[in-house]
Amino acid sequence: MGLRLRISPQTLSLLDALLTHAMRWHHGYALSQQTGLASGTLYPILMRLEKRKWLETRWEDPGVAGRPPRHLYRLTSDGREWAREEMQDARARKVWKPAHAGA
Amino acid sequence: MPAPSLSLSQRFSAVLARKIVALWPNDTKEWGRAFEAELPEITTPLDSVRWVLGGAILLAKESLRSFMKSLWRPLGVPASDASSSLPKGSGPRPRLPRVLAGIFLLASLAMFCLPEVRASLASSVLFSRMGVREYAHQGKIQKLLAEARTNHDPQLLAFLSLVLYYDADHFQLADKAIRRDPSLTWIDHSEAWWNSRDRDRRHFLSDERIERLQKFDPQNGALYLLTAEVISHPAKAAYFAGPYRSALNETESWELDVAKDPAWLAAMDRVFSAPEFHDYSAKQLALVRQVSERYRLSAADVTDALFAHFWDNGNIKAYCHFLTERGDEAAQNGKWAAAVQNYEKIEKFAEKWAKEEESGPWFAADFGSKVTPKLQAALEASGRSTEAQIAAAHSVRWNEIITARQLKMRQRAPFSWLRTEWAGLLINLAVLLILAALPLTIAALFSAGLAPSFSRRILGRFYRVVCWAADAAPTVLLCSFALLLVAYHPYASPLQNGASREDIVAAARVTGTLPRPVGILVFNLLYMRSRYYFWLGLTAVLSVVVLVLLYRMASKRRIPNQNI
Repeated sequence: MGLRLRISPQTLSLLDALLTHAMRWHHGYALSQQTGLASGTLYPILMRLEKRKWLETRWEDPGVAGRPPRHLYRLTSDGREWAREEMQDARARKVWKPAHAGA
Repeated sequence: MPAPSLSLSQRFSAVLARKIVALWPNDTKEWGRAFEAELPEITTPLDSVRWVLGGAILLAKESLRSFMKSLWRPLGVPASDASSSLPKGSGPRPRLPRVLAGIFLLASLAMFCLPEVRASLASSVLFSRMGVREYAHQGKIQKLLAEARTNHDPQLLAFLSLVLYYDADHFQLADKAIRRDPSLTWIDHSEAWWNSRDRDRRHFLSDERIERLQKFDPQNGALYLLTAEVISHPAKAAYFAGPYRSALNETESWELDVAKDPAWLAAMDRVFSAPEFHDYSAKQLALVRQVSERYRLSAADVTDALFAHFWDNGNIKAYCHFLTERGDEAAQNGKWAAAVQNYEKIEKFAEKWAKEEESGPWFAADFGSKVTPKLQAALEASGRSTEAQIAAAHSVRWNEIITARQLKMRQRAPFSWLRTEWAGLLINLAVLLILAALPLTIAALFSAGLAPSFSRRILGRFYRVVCWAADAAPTVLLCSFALLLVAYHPYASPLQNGASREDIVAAARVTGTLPRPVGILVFNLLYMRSRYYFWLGLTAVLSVVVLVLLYRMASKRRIPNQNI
């Protein structure tokens, strides 16, 4: 896959959230709530993923007056493929298990 | 729909988020806005505060990253324009990363802070501007003078009296030093040397001083030479005032005149028969070393004049001629014992001189080589064959010294530079480059770094030159400082490094008197020797700059009119 990204548990958690509804666009705060990551942790990971072209971003259409449009995120096809490989690898090495695995 | 009422913490978070976005680096500002856009969705006050605090941490990280990235961006290139693939026609821009420019400038500054670099710079610039070394160090010497007035250190007073030989008050300093420490009486002998540079002022060392010297060290024949020089001065002055004739190996008329004077003969006899013959250079070197260490004088150029004197052989040569003629006369009459006595006197004096003085052999060889064959013949004729063999051996040694001297002189001339002269050339070139590169660097970096768009608009095509200067000048500046440091370092502290007198003279020579063939022209061109030329040059340069700017501004205004 070319460039290696440092796969931390936080990154795996975010990838898991992004893969849950892979084709849907996600909001930053929603991802933060899903993963439990603070904004100071979440956004650097999103920025790194985007830099490697594994994440696509767009701005929401302006809709609600008095509220700025929000930034939306989803994995690219390359990103999805890579994310699935990483998740499988992490599960195989037992370095990560999804929060809902034991539920 | 009515806007939901916000709590105080949410309002505070919103204000803080706006500030954070305002401070966000431009290249990733979109992410700052993304972070801010989520804030209205966060309904709980605590979560909104946590969100904003996370954003603040993110801002700090991004600012640091952006700063680190910006270091590798050339000066005057905005973050958005930093990509390597600039569109064609975007105009020239500097290429040297600002971090390298900064490192080069800091390294140059660090080298400038080294005392030896500043000493060589000051020496080169001041000497070139003033032309007279003695005046180039007035500031340093004046400080030492002020210190000597308060601490009355006899060694410092003695040192200053020697260094300030061109000053009218230097004898007072010498007297003060000798009063406090009579063992320094020998400095009067060094005072006598300075006068040898000027024939008209020669021998102004008073009789009292000469007498004081001779009492101080009766064993040293060099002190009786002062008396002989005083006696011979009128005859010498009259001879040299007339039409000059070269008589290197011949007896000059003034020599015949003084040889008739019993006082001169007695003085010269004491010169030749005294157990020692030296000029106190060892004491002088020790004094200079002690004072340099005590008062942290590192520049050899302050003290070089002390060591740059030579013996005036006139009286010695005259007495040797006198003794040789007497010996020849005795030999012609078959009085071998008298002949040997006269020749031996010269040979023994030459031996003594060669032994006790660093530069002695070079001078003594001339006298020794001439007399030893005669001495050998006289000794053989008088049946003293063993002594004749010794004289023959001495003759061989004197000739070897002369051959070595001739070889050294031949290596020296013409166009063969000493190592110190090459070093001097490098030092002066480095100083010239520094003087050129320093203003160029400052101007280019200000122009390209602080006002690139203004400079580009005003200078037009010439902005390319600014970019070139911004790239090259810091590098040239650093290399020049490095060259100066490397070239001057071996000569920086000769006094502390146990250098010989010759080394100190050489060390002083590297900054001041060189380069002779190239430098004088270049220095004359670059260093304005008078205020008139300085202001004239400055006005001319500024006028050209103003004309270029006016032309540029006028041509810019015409373009829209043509389009209409």
